Amino acid sequence: MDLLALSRFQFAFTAFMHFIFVPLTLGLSVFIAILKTLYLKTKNPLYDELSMFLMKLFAINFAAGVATGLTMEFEFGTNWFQYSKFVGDIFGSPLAIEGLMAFFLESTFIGIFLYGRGRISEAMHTFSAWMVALGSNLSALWILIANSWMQTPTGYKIVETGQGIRAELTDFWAAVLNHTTIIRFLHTVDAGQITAGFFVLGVLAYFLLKRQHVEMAKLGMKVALIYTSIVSVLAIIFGDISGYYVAKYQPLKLAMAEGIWNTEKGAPVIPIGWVDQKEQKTYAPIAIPGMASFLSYHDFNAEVKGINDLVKEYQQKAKDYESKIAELEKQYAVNPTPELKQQLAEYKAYAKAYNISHADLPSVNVVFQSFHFMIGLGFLFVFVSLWGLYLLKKGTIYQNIAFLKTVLYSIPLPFIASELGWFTAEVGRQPWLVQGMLKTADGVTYFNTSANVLFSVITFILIYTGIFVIYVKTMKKKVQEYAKKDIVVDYETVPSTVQVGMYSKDTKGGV
Amino acid sequence: MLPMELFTLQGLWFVLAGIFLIGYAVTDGFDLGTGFPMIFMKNEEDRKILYNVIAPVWDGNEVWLIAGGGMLFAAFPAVYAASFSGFYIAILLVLWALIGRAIAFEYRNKSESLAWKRTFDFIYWIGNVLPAILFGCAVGNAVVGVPIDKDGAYLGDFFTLLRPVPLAMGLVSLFMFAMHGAAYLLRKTEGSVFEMAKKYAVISAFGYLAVVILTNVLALIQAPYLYENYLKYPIFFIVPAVMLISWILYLQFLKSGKYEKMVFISSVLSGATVLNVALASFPVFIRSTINPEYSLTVFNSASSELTLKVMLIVAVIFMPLVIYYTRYAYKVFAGKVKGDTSYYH
Repeated sequence: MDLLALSRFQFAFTAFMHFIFVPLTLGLSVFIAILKTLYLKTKNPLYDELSMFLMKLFAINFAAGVATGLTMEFEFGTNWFQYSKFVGDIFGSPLAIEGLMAFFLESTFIGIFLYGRGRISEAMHTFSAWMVALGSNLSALWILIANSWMQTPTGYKIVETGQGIRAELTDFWAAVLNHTTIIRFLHTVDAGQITAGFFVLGVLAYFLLKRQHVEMAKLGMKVALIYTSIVSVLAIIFGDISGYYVAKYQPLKLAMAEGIWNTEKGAPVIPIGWVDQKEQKTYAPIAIPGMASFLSYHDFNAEVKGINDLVKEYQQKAKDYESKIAELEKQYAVNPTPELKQQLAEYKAYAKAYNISHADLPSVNVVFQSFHFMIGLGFLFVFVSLWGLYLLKKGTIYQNIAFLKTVLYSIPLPFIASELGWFTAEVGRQPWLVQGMLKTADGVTYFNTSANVLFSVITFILIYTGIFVIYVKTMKKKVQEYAKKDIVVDYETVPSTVQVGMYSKDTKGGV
Repeated sequence: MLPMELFTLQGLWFVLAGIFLIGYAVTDGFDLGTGFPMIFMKNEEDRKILYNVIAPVWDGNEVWLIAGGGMLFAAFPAVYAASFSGFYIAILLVLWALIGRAIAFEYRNKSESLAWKRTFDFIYWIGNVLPAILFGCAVGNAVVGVPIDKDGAYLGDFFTLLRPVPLAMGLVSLFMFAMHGAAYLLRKTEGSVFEMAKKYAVISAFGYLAVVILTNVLALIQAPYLYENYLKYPIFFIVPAVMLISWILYLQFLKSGKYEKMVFISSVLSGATVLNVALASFPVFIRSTINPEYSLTVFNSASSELTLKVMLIVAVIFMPLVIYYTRYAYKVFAGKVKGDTSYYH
């Protein structure tokens, strides 16, 4: 088997598996911290009970996230030797900062948060919940800074050193706040909040369906619904802005996501379609004219570049750099200045990176379908959460079996949406590791053997599948166990505004 | 006198890389070292204590490795790339071990079944022993030398790495972590685990001494160049002297029952052990056995000045903060872990 293909598969697989656990960590940590804060303010023990229960689920999720995440940091070095050398000067920093600024914070306070109760004050316990939330979301920030730099690199120059050609940092803040960092961060972190929102809604719906812990579920639903509605609507807004930035800075990705092969004005959106890569055609039973132009440039008539024209454009670019190299080399022979040497290195890298053909493109259909399904799910989340809000206002949410079942079975959907978004972003980035600078094929550890990578791929599949199975089973078990358990709550301390007992399991009415 | 090269930005980063390695050895040393006796313990309660002594802090301890890896990537990308890709299978083994350890921590107590628990106990044990040996082996291979070409590409295979000196260094790190873990157990436990830890401390201390001597004998024969720096800068001999004094004090404190001091002195010993290797190798990170010119050094593999400066600022701001709240975490969980304490939830 092909070394490059195996290495790509390994990275994709391990990142995919790791990204199952990440969104829930991002969202659930915030949600738990909110509940803890509500408890601190209202002294309502139900908030406390719910937060402590969710904390157990969080711990299970966090362990799987840490275990699978270790691989990610190692893999740049093990499988992407040339990439690591090429961009280490810039890419390594956010990873290191993530460790120092965020992961230390999260991991230290998670110990205090999980085991410290009884040893520290309630305020301190709430504070450590916020530190875990801050830590995990700051982690996401730095990882996305690193990733966004690969998508839309800025703040660098390319130079030749004794260790070969590499990108060097010229402007830290430009590299950190490159064109797409902030929106990518907001969009991803928001997706994590949706994941947690639906997770909590689903679990509480399960309790309501089972008529267990009804008071707690009722209270939790209220908070979770408000929370989920806000973050679901935000996802649409962030998604729209994100599309705008992709159109501007990654036109090839946009063209693949929308299935546009030839440049056109007033490009349509194809809600349901099929991309035939061989024929270079996108089959579209329905098409909304002008919509792709509108969404990308906020103008129905804007020109959207197609895949074919972009590939030609990049090839032309490669040729232009090629011709400049010849000129520069002549100049350099006469006058070998460091500036000329640096420019030569830069042009050589660009000439190589932009020299792409149709064969280098990823599966356009994967990008297209992931993108469209993600958007479909995004709207579904808004619909479900607004439906919930409406039922909440009407006061019938706890009896509405259809709604409760919908949210229960919706638990996996935000996880899937996050993965689809990741597919769109990462498959859509191909054929580049660093856009316009380094092709994926040029980043691999070329001296590794296929046998080595095949071996590691197989072991990762086994180990990660094992973790996933144990994870799902343990999560399910914890929820089911808890549903059987009676909560010990000191109802004396519940403020009178909360109608305790109204929906408890021995009451005939209720759910 | 100290070599002037240390006083450059790159030299400073060599020191910082060393601090990270020492930070890792000291903190995750608690985790690894307390895990080794796992399979020798028959009693379920005793096994639980081994988890409990570090359950609240292990996550934070392991971040030293992750942040350290990030630091290496940022400051010396060529070294990061060459070592991780070159030691491919070894790195994989470390990864599986660490993954297994993390999973065992959280999932062991999620089922009442004894088979389930014993499986995770075994995974956990491997997860502690294997990295402890492999970290030493990896450092050993880097300083003794591996076949890397002028691009830093590794031309050997997994079996190239299995040589006497690096393997002996793997044992040194194993016993170093064992001593450290034993001291921590004495500080944190009572009863049968405490009694076990007393023996464990003695065995690991003498084991450590034996493998350090063995390593030096082997190195004198097979890698005499590792002594060049010491002969050039005799001041470096302070470090082995510190190792020796710490080792003696370790046994002294064990005898007199001063366990808090024992933890401190085993931290010093771990730090000195790491420093000792770093000084022997400086300024080389990874020696090339093909051509000394191809060796990756502090100077030819470092990042650009701007990156090093930025990362220095970041480290100066965040390191003290990290140390501050890590201390807080240890303070919150101070005191002995009793048999009936369960941090599990």
